Amino acid sequence: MNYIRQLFYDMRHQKMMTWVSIGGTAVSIFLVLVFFMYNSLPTVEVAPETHRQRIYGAMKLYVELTGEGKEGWNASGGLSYDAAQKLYGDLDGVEAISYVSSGSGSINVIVDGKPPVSSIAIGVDGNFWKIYNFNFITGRPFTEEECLNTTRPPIVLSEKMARHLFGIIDVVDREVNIGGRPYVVVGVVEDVNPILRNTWADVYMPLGEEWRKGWDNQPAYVFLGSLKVLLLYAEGTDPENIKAQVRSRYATLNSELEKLGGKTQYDNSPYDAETMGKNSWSKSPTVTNIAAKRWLVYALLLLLPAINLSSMMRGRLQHRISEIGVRRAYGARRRDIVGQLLGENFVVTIVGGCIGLILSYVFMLFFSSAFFSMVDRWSSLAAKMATPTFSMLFSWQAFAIALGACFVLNVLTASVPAWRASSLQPALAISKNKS
Amino acid sequence: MEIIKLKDVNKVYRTKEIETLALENVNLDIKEGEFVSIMGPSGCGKSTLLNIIGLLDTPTSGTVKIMDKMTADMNDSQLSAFRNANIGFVFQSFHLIPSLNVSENVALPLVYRHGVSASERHKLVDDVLRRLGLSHRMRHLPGQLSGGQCQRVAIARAIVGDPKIVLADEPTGNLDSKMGQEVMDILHKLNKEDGRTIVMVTHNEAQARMTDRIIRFFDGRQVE
Ligand SMILES: Nc1ncnc2c1ncn2[C@@H]1O[C@H](COP(=O)(O)OP(=O)(O)OP(=O)(O)O)[C@@H](O)[C@H]1O
Ligand SMILES: [Mg+2]
Repeated sequence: MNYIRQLFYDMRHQKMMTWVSIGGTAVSIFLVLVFFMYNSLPTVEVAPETHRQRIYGAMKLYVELTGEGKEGWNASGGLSYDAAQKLYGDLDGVEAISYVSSGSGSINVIVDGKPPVSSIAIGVDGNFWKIYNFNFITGRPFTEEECLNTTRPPIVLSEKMARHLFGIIDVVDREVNIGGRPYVVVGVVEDVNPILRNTWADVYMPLGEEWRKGWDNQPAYVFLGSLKVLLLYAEGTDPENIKAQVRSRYATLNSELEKLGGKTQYDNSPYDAETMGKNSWSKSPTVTNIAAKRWLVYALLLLLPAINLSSMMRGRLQHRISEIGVRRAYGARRRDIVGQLLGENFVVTIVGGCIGLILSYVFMLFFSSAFFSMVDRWSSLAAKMATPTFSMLFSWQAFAIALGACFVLNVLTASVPAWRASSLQPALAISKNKS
Repeated sequence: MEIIKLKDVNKVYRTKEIETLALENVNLDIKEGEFVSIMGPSGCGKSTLLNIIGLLDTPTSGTVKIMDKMTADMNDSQLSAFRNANIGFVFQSFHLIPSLNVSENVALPLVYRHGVSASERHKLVDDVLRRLGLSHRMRHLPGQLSGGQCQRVAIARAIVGDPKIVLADEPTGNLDSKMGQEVMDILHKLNKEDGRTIVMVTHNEAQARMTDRIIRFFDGRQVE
């Protein structure tokens, strides 16, 4: 109570310094929260990716040739269906496995001889619809058998694409033409936010034979292909246990590869939602210690402003040295003074924190797409269109982070000036300045 | 019976360039219930003496015994508790806390005292404000009061915790003679009616002559 009153008093009598303190805190909390929210987007669980914490992925394979005259030859790419099954099929602790195209591509869709419409497509198998919770506005998903149907394969469209192509949404059983082949629409799903990278597309194509085969330019490259694997772990599965199984599958694959004149290296897969988007196609992928880097950023985002805010705090205290002396004269212990000053400054921090919190939401909801395309080289196409929704950003963790950051910032900012002010000889403090 | 006992007290201030001997070999006994005034030219060490008696500062050498307690042995929280219980301060420039209203300023010593409930605190503050004729100013901020009123609030604060000793450093220095007289009357009342020991620094001969004893200082030394 008195802490809040002190804030109002400071706002009136030390306007400049109080507002700079609040503003500096707000900026710091803003940056912390934007960083947190940006990092939480790969793991936030919203439809259709409602089980993101349990979905792991494996998206590449590295093969090196061993034959004579082939030293230094190597390649990495997606997996062939055969390799994907050998490495990741039927693992203990996995509830479902889905094979999908390793990237998204741009294709032309033609309806009734109208001009082609360019759209983003991914190829998915029948299980894809089981590990994700798509909302079908009309129709249904396609099955694994239908995927391999070559005469009139099925296709699923996004709501936006259905409307674009046909002008209406209810387009089940209508036909579209892609690459000279007719497809029949079996369902239309609600649009997916581009931030959800495993499920976002305009067109969901069935994963036919042509997606599933391996490379044919070298015998040992037969396990390379164009697929990635998505695994839904059973509740309570230990990811390390899965990795151990995959590692031994790699050993088996290696003995097969040896006969074909090649070898591979286990790449620490499957990756969790967090790591999935971050892995490059390099030869020996290291799952870098993301958490450690992240803590470093948080520490910097709090520490740098804290240095400035700390000198602000010292400035604000200058005016109150004699008050502190008087309190000491009347029986305040050193720790009473430190506690009071930390408490008062916490009010300043909380006010700044609330402002920062609001600003971070405003920024993420309205201005973040430009920012994403700047920081996110990996999928700039999706990123340019990506604006997170409120439900993606709204989490108790964000509030906890904000509050925690306020606590840390307060202690970093106030403890040293407060301790110093409290350590002054009371007689000296009282005579410092008139109140 | 001596309530304040100083023995061979020296106080040296060291700054980068100079050493100031603010107090030199001071020996002083003040009896319980005495009203003592301290006089001397500016810079002779009066405030320094009062700060040392009030445990706001420590002597460079010598011993300070207050109410038979050796104060040199106390740590920070013991000193704080001792000041809180036994000593009240009145300053020349009042030193009220500007962001707190009158009753909050007066309540200050009780806030730092262990085991005083909010209702006890309110009652004690009400009583002392009524006694000093400030009841109608309880919600005012110090900035809204006259100098004389401020000093009365400061005196209320000094005695709300019922200390045996009141230390006053030029309590009338910033007041005109009428308000100064009011403050002196109050101090005499605290001495006569309550039996509090009062040590007051003053430059005013007439005020000093009204007290039980005058101690004169010159250049850090007691001359009388
Ligand atoms: N914190 C300090 N650091 C250095 N010197 C000091 C300090 N406080 C006081 N002094 C010096 O000690 C001497 C005594 O100071 P003190 O304040 O006790 O005098 P005083 O008798 O109260 O004077 P006045 O009547 O002007 O209030 C002075 O020379 C003063 O300059
Ligand atoms: Mg003085």
